[in-house]
Amino acid sequence: MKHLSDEQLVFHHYQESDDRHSVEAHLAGCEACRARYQALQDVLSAIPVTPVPERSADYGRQVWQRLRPRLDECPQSFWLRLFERPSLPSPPRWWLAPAMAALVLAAFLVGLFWSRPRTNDPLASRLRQELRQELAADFQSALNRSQEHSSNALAALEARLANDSKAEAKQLVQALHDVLGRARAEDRQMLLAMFHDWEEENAAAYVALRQDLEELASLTDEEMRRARSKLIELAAQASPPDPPFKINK
Amino acid sequence: MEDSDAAVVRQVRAGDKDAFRVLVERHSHALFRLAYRMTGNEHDADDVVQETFLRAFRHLNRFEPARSFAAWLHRIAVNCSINLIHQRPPQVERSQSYTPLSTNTLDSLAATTPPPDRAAIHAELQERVQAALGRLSAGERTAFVLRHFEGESIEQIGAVLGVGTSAAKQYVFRGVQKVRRELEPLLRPTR
Repeated sequence: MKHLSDEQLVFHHYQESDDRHSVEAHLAGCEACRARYQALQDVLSAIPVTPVPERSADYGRQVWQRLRPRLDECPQSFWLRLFERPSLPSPPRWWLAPAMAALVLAAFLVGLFWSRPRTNDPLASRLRQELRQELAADFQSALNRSQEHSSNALAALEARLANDSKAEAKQLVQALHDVLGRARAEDRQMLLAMFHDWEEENAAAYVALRQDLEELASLTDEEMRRARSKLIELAAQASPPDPPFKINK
Repeated sequence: MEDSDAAVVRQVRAGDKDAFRVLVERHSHALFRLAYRMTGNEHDADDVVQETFLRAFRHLNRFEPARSFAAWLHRIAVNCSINLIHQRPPQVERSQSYTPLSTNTLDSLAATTPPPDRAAIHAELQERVQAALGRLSAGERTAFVLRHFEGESIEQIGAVLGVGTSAAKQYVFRGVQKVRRELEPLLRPTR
Protein backbone atom coordinates (compact mmCIF):
# COMPACT_ATOMS: atom_id res chain seq x y z
CA MET A 1 0.00 0.00 0.00
CA LYS A 2 1.42 3.35 -1.00
CA HIS A 3 1.20 5.93 1.79
CA LEU A 4 0.45 9.59 1.34
CA SER A 5 3.39 11.95 1.00
CA ASP A 6 3.99 14.84 3.39
CA GLU A 7 3.21 17.22 0.55
CA GLN A 8 -0.19 15.59 -0.01
CA LEU A 9 -0.97 15.89 3.69
CA VAL A 10 0.08 19.56 3.85
CA PHE A 11 -2.05 20.57 0.89
CA HIS A 12 -4.94 18.47 2.12
CA HIS A 13 -4.77 20.45 5.36
CA TYR A 14 -4.87 23.73 3.41
CA GLN A 15 -7.65 22.41 1.14
CA GLU A 16 -5.42 22.83 -1.90
CA SER A 17 -5.24 19.13 -2.69
CA ASP A 18 -5.54 18.12 -6.33
CA ASP A 19 -7.11 14.77 -5.41
CA ARG A 20 -9.07 15.53 -2.23
CA HIS A 21 -11.41 12.53 -2.46
CA SER A 22 -8.67 9.94 -2.89
CA VAL A 23 -6.69 11.48 0.00
CA GLU A 24 -9.75 11.35 2.24
CA ALA A 25 -10.42 7.75 1.21
CA HIS A 26 -6.83 6.80 1.97
CA LEU A 27 -6.87 8.53 5.36
CA ALA A 28 -10.08 6.69 6.26
CA GLY A 29 -8.41 3.34 5.67
CA CYS A 30 -4.79 3.95 6.72
CA GLU A 31 -4.03 4.39 10.41
CA ALA A 32 -0.37 5.34 9.84
CA CYS A 33 -1.23 8.18 7.48
CA ARG A 34 -4.07 9.27 9.76
CA ALA A 35 -1.59 9.56 12.65
CA ARG A 36 0.84 11.55 10.51
CA TYR A 37 -1.95 13.84 9.38
CA GLN A 38 -3.05 14.36 12.98
CA ALA A 39 0.49 15.25 14.02
CA LEU A 40 0.71 17.80 11.21
CA GLN A 41 -2.61 19.33 12.19
CA ASP A 42 -1.54 19.53 15.84
CA VAL A 43 1.50 21.63 14.92
CA LEU A 44 -0.21 23.87 12.40
CA SER A 45 -3.23 24.50 14.60
CA ALA A 46 -0.98 25.32 17.57
CA ILE A 47 0.54 28.25 15.69
CA PRO A 48 -1.17 31.23 17.26
CA VAL A 49 -2.81 33.56 14.82
CA THR A 50 -2.28 36.84 16.56
CA PRO A 51 -4.67 39.53 15.42
CA VAL A 52 -3.24 42.22 13.21
CA PRO A 53 -3.28 45.57 15.05
CA GLU A 54 -6.25 47.63 14.03
CA ARG A 55 -5.80 50.56 11.72
CA SER A 56 -8.41 53.29 11.63
CA ALA A 57 -10.74 53.68 8.70
CA ASP A 58 -8.80 56.71 7.50
CA TYR A 59 -5.46 54.88 7.59
CA GLY A 60 -5.19 55.21 3.82
CA ARG A 61 -5.62 58.98 4.10
CA GLN A 62 -2.90 59.12 6.76
CA VAL A 63 -0.54 57.13 4.56
CA TRP A 64 -1.30 59.46 1.66
CA GLN A 65 -0.62 62.58 3.74
CA ARG A 66 2.81 61.30 4.69
CA LEU A 67 3.50 60.07 1.19
CA ARG A 68 2.36 63.03 -0.93
CA PRO A 69 5.31 65.39 -0.22
CA ARG A 70 7.74 62.58 -1.05
CA LEU A 71 6.20 62.01 -4.48
CA ASP A 72 7.40 65.43 -5.64
CA GLU A 73 10.94 64.38 -4.82
CA CYS A 74 10.85 61.43 -7.19
CA PRO A 75 10.40 62.43 -10.82
CA GLN A 76 8.87 59.85 -13.11
CA SER A 77 10.97 58.62 -15.98
CA PHE A 78 11.36 60.73 -19.13
CA TRP A 79 9.90 58.04 -21.39
CA LEU A 80 6.90 57.56 -19.17
CA ARG A 81 6.09 61.26 -19.28
CA LEU A 82 6.74 61.45 -23.00
CA PHE A 83 4.45 58.60 -23.99
CA GLU A 84 1.72 58.83 -21.40
CA ARG A 85 1.02 62.57 -21.21
CA PRO A 86 -2.37 63.00 -22.92
CA SER A 87 -2.10 66.76 -23.18
CA LEU A 88 1.04 66.59 -25.28
CA PRO A 89 0.83 69.64 -27.57
CA SER A 90 0.82 69.36 -31.33
CA PRO A 91 2.40 67.79 -33.31
CA PRO A 92 0.54 64.69 -32.15
CA ARG A 93 2.30 61.63 -30.81
CA TRP A 94 2.35 59.82 -34.18
CA TRP A 95 5.38 61.91 -35.14
CA LEU A 96 7.38 59.90 -32.64
CA ALA A 97 7.38 56.75 -34.78
CA PRO A 98 8.98 58.25 -37.94
CA ALA A 99 11.25 60.39 -35.78
CA MET A 100 12.50 57.31 -33.95
CA ALA A 101 12.90 55.45 -37.25
CA ALA A 102 14.93 58.34 -38.69
CA LEU A 103 17.05 58.40 -35.55
CA VAL A 104 17.71 54.66 -35.78
CA LEU A 105 18.57 54.95 -39.49
CA ALA A 106 20.93 57.86 -38.83
CA ALA A 107 22.61 55.89 -36.06
CA PHE A 108 22.93 52.90 -38.38
CA LEU A 109 24.51 54.97 -41.16
CA VAL A 110 26.87 56.71 -38.78
CA GLY A 111 27.87 53.33 -37.38
CA LEU A 112 28.29 51.90 -40.85
CA PHE A 113 30.73 54.56 -42.01
CA TRP A 114 32.30 55.25 -38.65
CA SER A 115 33.22 51.63 -38.14
CA ARG A 116 34.76 51.31 -41.59
CA PRO A 117 37.64 53.75 -41.74
CA ARG A 118 39.59 54.24 -44.96
CA THR A 119 42.75 52.31 -44.73
CA ASN A 120 46.12 53.29 -46.12
CA ASP A 121 47.12 49.68 -46.29
CA PRO A 122 49.31 49.10 -49.43
CA LEU A 123 47.44 45.90 -50.35
CA ALA A 124 44.09 47.70 -50.30
CA SER A 125 45.46 50.53 -52.44
CA ARG A 126 46.87 48.06 -54.94
CA LEU A 127 43.59 46.14 -55.17
CA ARG A 128 41.64 49.35 -55.61
CA GLN A 129 43.98 50.46 -58.40
CA GLU A 130 43.69 47.10 -60.18
CA LEU A 131 39.93 47.18 -59.95
CA ARG A 132 39.83 50.68 -61.40
CA GLN A 133 42.08 49.65 -64.31
CA GLU A 134 39.99 46.58 -65.09
CA LEU A 135 36.79 48.60 -65.13
CA ALA A 136 38.35 51.24 -67.40
CA ALA A 137 39.63 48.55 -69.80
CA ASP A 138 36.20 46.88 -69.96
CA PHE A 139 34.54 50.20 -70.69
CA GLN A 140 37.00 51.05 -73.44
CA SER A 141 36.61 47.62 -75.03
CA ALA A 142 32.82 47.86 -75.08
CA LEU A 143 32.99 51.35 -76.55
CA ASN A 144 35.36 50.16 -79.27
CA ARG A 145 33.05 47.26 -80.16
CA SER A 146 30.09 49.60 -80.43
CA GLN A 147 31.95 52.06 -82.63
CA GLU A 148 33.21 49.27 -84.84
CA HIS A 149 29.68 47.91 -85.28
CA SER A 150 28.27 51.30 -86.34
CA SER A 151 31.19 52.06 -88.64
CA ASN A 152 30.83 48.73 -90.46
CA ALA A 153 27.12 49.34 -91.03
CA LEU A 154 27.75 52.83 -92.41
CA ALA A 155 30.53 51.66 -94.72
CA ALA A 156 28.27 48.96 -96.17
CA LEU A 157 25.53 51.49 -96.88
CA GLU A 158 27.89 53.97 -98.44
CA ALA A 159 29.11 51.25 -100.81
CA ARG A 160 25.55 50.30 -101.80
CA LEU A 161 24.58 53.99 -102.34
CA ALA A 162 27.48 54.48 -104.72
CA ASN A 163 26.40 51.54 -106.90
CA ASP A 164 22.60 51.75 -106.90
CA SER A 165 20.30 54.08 -108.85
CA LYS A 166 18.67 57.25 -107.56
CA ALA A 167 15.25 55.54 -107.37
CA GLU A 168 16.52 53.31 -104.77
CA ALA A 169 18.15 56.16 -102.83
CA LYS A 170 15.05 56.82 -100.74
CA GLN A 171 14.81 53.18 -99.70
CA LEU A 172 18.46 53.17 -98.90
CA VAL A 173 18.13 56.28 -96.73
CA GLN A 174 15.31 54.58 -94.88
CA ALA A 175 17.40 51.47 -94.51
CA LEU A 176 20.24 53.59 -93.24
CA HIS A 177 17.92 55.11 -90.68
CA ASP A 178 16.73 51.68 -89.55
CA VAL A 179 20.22 50.33 -89.30
CA LEU A 180 21.35 53.30 -87.25
CA GLY A 181 18.30 52.93 -85.00
CA ARG A 182 19.01 49.25 -84.44
CA ALA A 183 22.65 50.02 -83.83
CA ARG A 184 21.72 52.61 -81.22
CA ALA A 185 19.32 50.18 -79.55
CA GLU A 186 21.93 47.44 -79.55
CA ASP A 187 24.51 49.84 -78.20
CA ARG A 188 22.15 50.88 -75.43
CA GLN A 189 21.44 47.28 -74.52
CA MET A 190 25.09 46.42 -74.63
CA LEU A 191 26.00 49.34 -72.39
CA LEU A 192 23.30 48.39 -69.90
CA ALA A 193 24.57 44.82 -69.84
CA MET A 194 28.08 46.10 -69.44
CA PHE A 195 27.12 48.27 -66.47
CA HIS A 196 25.31 45.31 -64.94
CA ASP A 197 28.46 43.24 -65.31
CA TRP A 198 30.54 46.02 -63.79
CA GLU A 199 28.16 46.23 -60.88
CA GLU A 200 28.50 42.51 -60.19
CA GLU A 201 32.22 42.56 -60.64
CA ASN A 202 32.48 45.55 -58.37
CA ALA A 203 30.54 43.74 -55.60
CA ALA A 204 32.63 40.62 -56.08
CA ALA A 205 35.79 42.69 -56.03
CA TYR A 206 34.65 44.40 -52.85
CA VAL A 207 33.99 41.05 -51.15
CA ALA A 208 37.38 39.81 -52.30
CA LEU A 209 38.95 43.00 -51.02
CA ARG A 210 37.32 42.52 -47.59
CA GLN A 211 38.52 38.93 -47.45
CA ASP A 212 42.03 40.00 -48.37
CA LEU A 213 42.00 42.66 -45.69
CA GLU A 214 40.74 40.25 -43.05
CA GLU A 215 43.36 37.74 -44.06
CA LEU A 216 45.97 40.44 -43.85
CA ALA A 217 44.73 41.42 -40.38
CA SER A 218 44.85 37.83 -39.16
CA LEU A 219 48.33 37.43 -40.64
CA THR A 220 49.38 40.60 -38.88
CA ASP A 221 47.98 39.25 -35.62
CA GLU A 222 49.81 35.99 -36.15
CA GLU A 223 53.02 37.84 -36.82
CA MET A 224 52.48 39.92 -33.68
CA ARG A 225 52.01 36.77 -31.62
CA ARG A 226 55.10 35.22 -33.11
CA ALA A 227 57.10 38.36 -32.46
CA ARG A 228 55.81 38.45 -28.86
CA SER A 229 56.77 34.81 -28.33
CA LYS A 230 60.18 35.54 -29.81
CA LEU A 231 60.64 38.50 -27.49
CA ILE A 232 59.64 36.36 -24.50
CA GLU A 233 62.13 33.71 -25.54
CA LEU A 234 64.85 36.30 -25.96
CA ALA A 235 63.99 37.84 -22.60
CA ALA A 236 64.13 34.42 -20.96
CA GLN A 237 67.52 33.72 -22.48
CA ALA A 238 68.88 37.11 -21.44
CA SER A 239 67.49 36.94 -17.89
CA PRO A 240 69.35 35.60 -14.83
CA PRO A 241 68.38 32.07 -13.64
CA ASP A 242 65.87 33.34 -11.02
CA PRO A 243 64.07 36.36 -12.38
CA PRO A 244 62.40 38.61 -9.83
CA PHE A 245 59.12 38.57 -11.79
CA LYS A 246 57.08 36.29 -14.02
CA ILE A 247 56.17 37.00 -17.61
CA ASN A 248 52.61 36.05 -18.36
CA LYS A 249 52.36 34.27 -21.67
CA MET B 1 -18.50 54.42 -10.59
CA GLU B 2 -15.16 53.54 -9.02
CA ASP B 3 -12.20 53.54 -11.40
CA SER B 4 -10.27 50.31 -11.79
CA ASP B 5 -6.67 50.15 -10.59
CA ALA B 6 -5.45 50.06 -14.19
CA ALA B 7 -7.45 53.20 -15.06
CA VAL B 8 -5.99 55.07 -12.08
CA VAL B 9 -2.51 53.90 -12.99
CA ARG B 10 -3.01 55.39 -16.48
CA GLN B 11 -4.00 58.71 -14.91
CA VAL B 12 -0.90 58.75 -12.71
CA ARG B 13 1.31 57.79 -15.63
CA ALA B 14 -0.17 60.72 -17.53
CA GLY B 15 1.18 63.04 -14.86
CA ASP B 16 -1.68 63.26 -12.35
CA LYS B 17 0.23 62.49 -9.15
CA ASP B 18 -2.80 63.15 -6.96
CA ALA B 19 -4.66 60.29 -8.63
CA PHE B 20 -2.23 58.00 -6.84
CA ARG B 21 -4.18 58.80 -3.67
CA VAL B 22 -6.97 56.49 -4.84
CA LEU B 23 -4.56 53.56 -4.99
CA VAL B 24 -3.05 54.42 -1.61
CA GLU B 25 -6.41 54.59 0.11
CA ARG B 26 -7.64 51.45 -1.62
CA HIS B 27 -4.68 49.20 -0.76
CA SER B 28 -3.20 50.56 2.49
CA HIS B 29 -5.07 48.25 4.87
CA ALA B 30 -4.26 45.07 2.95
CA LEU B 31 -0.63 46.10 2.65
CA PHE B 32 -0.43 46.78 6.36
CA ARG B 33 -1.80 43.31 7.14
CA LEU B 34 0.74 41.66 4.87
CA ALA B 35 3.62 43.80 6.14
CA TYR B 36 2.66 43.07 9.74
CA ARG B 37 2.53 39.34 9.09
CA MET B 38 5.90 39.51 7.37
CA THR B 39 7.71 41.69 9.90
CA GLY B 40 5.78 40.88 13.08
CA ASN B 41 6.13 44.50 14.13
CA GLU B 42 3.56 47.27 13.94
CA HIS B 43 5.94 50.17 13.31
CA ASP B 44 7.95 48.23 10.77
CA ALA B 45 4.72 47.40 8.98
CA ASP B 46 3.83 51.11 8.78
CA ASP B 47 7.25 51.85 7.31
CA VAL B 48 6.87 49.03 4.80
CA VAL B 49 3.51 50.45 3.65
CA GLN B 50 5.07 53.87 3.05
CA GLU B 51 8.09 52.48 1.27
CA THR B 52 5.95 50.18 -0.87
CA PHE B 53 3.82 53.02 -2.22
CA LEU B 54 6.88 55.17 -2.84
CA ARG B 55 8.59 52.42 -4.82
CA ALA B 56 5.40 51.65 -6.70
CA PHE B 57 5.11 55.30 -7.73
CA ARG B 58 8.72 55.47 -8.84
CA HIS B 59 8.47 52.32 -10.93
CA LEU B 60 4.92 52.64 -12.16
CA ASN B 61 6.17 52.33 -15.74
CA ARG B 62 7.17 48.73 -14.99
CA PHE B 63 3.65 47.72 -14.05
CA GLU B 64 1.87 45.77 -16.77
CA PRO B 65 -1.79 46.89 -16.81
CA ALA B 66 -2.93 43.43 -17.89
CA ARG B 67 -1.83 42.04 -14.52
CA SER B 68 -3.19 42.55 -11.02
CA PHE B 69 -2.08 45.81 -9.47
CA ALA B 70 -2.73 44.42 -5.97
CA ALA B 71 -0.45 41.43 -6.60
CA TRP B 72 2.25 43.75 -7.99
CA LEU B 73 1.93 45.99 -4.93
CA HIS B 74 2.07 42.99 -2.56
CA ARG B 75 5.20 41.81 -4.29
CA ILE B 76 6.87 45.16 -3.64
CA ALA B 77 5.68 45.03 -0.03
CA VAL B 78 7.17 41.56 0.39
CA ASN B 79 10.51 42.80 -0.97
CA CYS B 80 10.43 45.83 1.34
CA SER B 81 9.64 43.57 4.30
CA ILE B 82 12.46 41.19 3.46
CA ASN B 83 14.89 44.11 3.13
CA LEU B 84 13.79 45.45 6.47
CA ILE B 85 14.13 42.03 8.12
CA HIS B 86 17.64 41.67 6.72
CA GLN B 87 18.59 45.04 8.16
CA ARG B 88 17.70 43.87 11.67
CA PRO B 89 20.46 42.61 13.94
CA PRO B 90 20.68 38.81 13.85
CA GLN B 91 18.60 37.00 16.45
CA VAL B 92 20.09 34.74 19.07
CA GLU B 93 19.82 31.10 17.98
CA ARG B 94 17.19 29.46 20.16
CA SER B 95 16.22 26.32 18.31
CA GLN B 96 18.33 24.04 20.49
CA SER B 97 17.16 25.58 23.76
CA TYR B 98 13.42 25.02 23.30
CA THR B 99 11.74 23.68 26.41
CA PRO B 100 8.91 21.32 25.49
CA LEU B 101 5.54 22.48 26.74
CA SER B 102 3.84 20.17 29.22
CA THR B 103 0.68 18.21 28.45
CA ASN B 104 -1.23 20.57 30.69
CA THR B 105 0.01 23.49 28.63
CA LEU B 106 -1.04 21.82 25.40
CA ASP B 107 -4.41 21.05 26.91
CA SER B 108 -4.76 24.65 27.94
CA LEU B 109 -3.95 25.77 24.40
CA ALA B 110 -6.74 23.59 23.11
CA ALA B 111 -9.19 24.58 25.80
CA THR B 112 -12.10 26.75 24.83
CA THR B 113 -12.01 28.64 28.13
CA PRO B 114 -8.63 30.34 28.52
CA PRO B 115 -6.92 29.81 31.84
CA PRO B 116 -5.16 32.84 33.37
CA ASP B 117 -1.71 31.90 31.98
CA ARG B 118 -2.94 31.11 28.47
CA ALA B 119 -2.06 34.55 27.13
CA ALA B 120 1.49 34.14 28.36
CA ILE B 121 1.81 30.74 26.67
CA HIS B 122 0.47 32.19 23.45
CA ALA B 123 2.96 35.01 23.68
CA GLU B 124 5.83 32.57 24.11
CA LEU B 125 4.62 30.40 21.27
CA GLN B 126 4.20 33.47 19.10
CA GLU B 127 7.75 34.51 19.81
CA ARG B 128 9.02 31.08 18.85
CA VAL B 129 6.95 31.06 15.67
CA GLN B 130 8.47 34.42 14.70
CA ALA B 131 11.93 32.99 15.37
CA ALA B 132 11.07 29.98 13.20
CA LEU B 133 9.79 32.26 10.44
CA GLY B 134 12.99 34.25 10.67
CA ARG B 135 14.93 31.17 9.68
CA LEU B 136 12.93 30.63 6.48
CA SER B 137 14.08 31.92 3.13
CA ALA B 138 12.32 35.01 1.77
CA GLY B 139 10.17 32.95 -0.60
CA GLU B 140 9.30 30.33 2.01
CA ARG B 141 8.41 32.95 4.59
CA THR B 142 6.23 34.88 2.16
CA ALA B 143 4.48 31.76 0.94
CA PHE B 144 3.90 30.45 4.46
CA VAL B 145 2.59 33.78 5.76
CA LEU B 146 0.26 34.25 2.80
CA ARG B 147 -1.05 30.68 2.94
CA HIS B 148 -1.22 30.03 6.66
CA PHE B 149 -2.15 33.42 8.08
CA GLU B 150 -3.82 35.18 5.19
CA GLY B 151 -5.44 32.15 3.56
CA GLU B 152 -4.32 33.20 0.09
CA SER B 153 -4.65 30.66 -2.71
CA ILE B 154 -1.64 29.08 -4.37
CA GLU B 155 -2.34 31.12 -7.52
CA GLN B 156 -2.34 34.37 -5.55
CA ILE B 157 0.87 33.40 -3.77
CA GLY B 158 2.45 32.63 -7.13
CA ALA B 159 1.39 36.06 -8.42
CA VAL B 160 2.94 37.81 -5.42
CA LEU B 161 6.16 35.80 -5.68
CA GLY B 162 6.24 36.08 -9.45
CA VAL B 163 6.39 32.32 -9.93
CA GLY B 164 4.11 29.60 -11.25
CA THR B 165 1.76 27.51 -9.14
CA SER B 166 4.15 24.54 -8.91
CA ALA B 167 6.94 26.73 -7.55
CA ALA B 168 4.50 28.50 -5.21
CA LYS B 169 3.39 25.11 -3.87
CA GLN B 170 6.99 24.12 -3.25
CA TYR B 171 7.59 27.34 -1.32
CA VAL B 172 4.54 26.70 0.86
CA PHE B 173 5.49 23.08 1.44
CA ARG B 174 9.10 23.83 2.35
CA GLY B 175 7.96 26.64 4.66
CA VAL B 176 5.51 24.35 6.45
CA GLN B 177 8.08 21.60 6.83
CA LYS B 178 10.66 23.95 8.33
CA VAL B 179 8.21 25.59 10.73
CA ARG B 180 7.03 22.16 11.72
CA ARG B 181 10.54 20.94 12.44
CA GLU B 182 11.10 24.03 14.59
CA LEU B 183 7.90 23.69 16.58
CA GLU B 184 7.48 19.93 16.95
CA PRO B 185 10.10 19.57 19.70
CA LEU B 186 8.41 22.39 21.53
CA LEU B 187 4.96 20.86 21.27
CA ARG B 188 5.99 17.30 22.09
CA PRO B 189 4.09 16.49 25.32
CA THR B 190 6.02 15.80 28.55
CA ARG B 191 4.35 14.09 31.50
